[in-house]
Amino acid sequence: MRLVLSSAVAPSAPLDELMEAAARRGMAGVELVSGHAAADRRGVGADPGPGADAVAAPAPVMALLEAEGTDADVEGHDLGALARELGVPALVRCSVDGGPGPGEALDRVGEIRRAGAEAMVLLPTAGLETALDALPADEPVAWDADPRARDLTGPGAWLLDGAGARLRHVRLRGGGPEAVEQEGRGVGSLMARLAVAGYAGTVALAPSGPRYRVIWDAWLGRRGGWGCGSRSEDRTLVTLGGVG
Amino acid sequence: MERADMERKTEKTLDVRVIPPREKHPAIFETFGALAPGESFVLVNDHDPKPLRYQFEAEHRGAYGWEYLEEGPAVWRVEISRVAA
Repeated sequence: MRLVLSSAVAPSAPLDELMEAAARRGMAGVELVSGHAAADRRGVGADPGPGADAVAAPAPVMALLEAEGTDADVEGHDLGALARELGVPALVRCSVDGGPGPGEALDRVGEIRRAGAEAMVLLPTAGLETALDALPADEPVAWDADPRARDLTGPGAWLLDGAGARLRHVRLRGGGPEAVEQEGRGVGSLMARLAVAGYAGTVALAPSGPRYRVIWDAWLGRRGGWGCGSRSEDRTLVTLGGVG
Repeated sequence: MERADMERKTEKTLDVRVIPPREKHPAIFETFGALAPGESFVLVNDHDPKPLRYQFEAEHRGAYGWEYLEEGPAVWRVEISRVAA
């Protein structure tokens, strides 16, 4: 089990700063979401710059997740190219209630593999069982674990029983500075089961939504945020006072 | 000890940094409870888990092993083992 930091915690942060933030928090790497500043090709492979040596070795990129709600044709091509360039697996989103279904996601995984990159389907929490059952039994998978959607205890146990070693990446929403708000939603039980199973994949720490941006900025040591409106007043934002 | 060596030493890792505070100790003891004698897991935390050790000492004295693999400043790694009978 290796904990990594998703670029979703700071979509405007450049790659070097995201890697530095992950390293400061003692994480093993970062998960990039395509479309975020850190996944900009110009930042990939760039010199980390002055100040980066103040921390431990920068956390490397471990996975690349496609952006939400983008044009599948364009995104699939870009995602495969960038994943190949980074040498990391591409995670393709899948839904059972409106978005691209398991079949479509699997087609795109095949397309990315033909382009020379590793790829796998990111299973949703709502409809997890339906989505996994629709995939071939030897297909590696990732899981978008969202404790807001369901208590993770049952789905986690079911997935480990059903997918076992095929599970390579877990994207856990709402951990880190939000963790206290996920009490009673099965996060502890899921992590214990992963440990007992000897899970050797990655667990990506991601926010449950953009409302928590202020908390994440502070947790990552960037009280001023990474720009893109982070200084403007937004009454929907949850502040540090909300987590005690 | 290098990180890669630590990961080779044991395959089970429990990172509690993502777990809600009140669920951390139950998750740790659930993992410990699933160990066979002689097995171990690596606990990863963002602070020195001294209170946890007190709880182990109170509830599992003589039945557990505790070895620090890394002691901060960002991460603490402790190998917790179930002592072979």
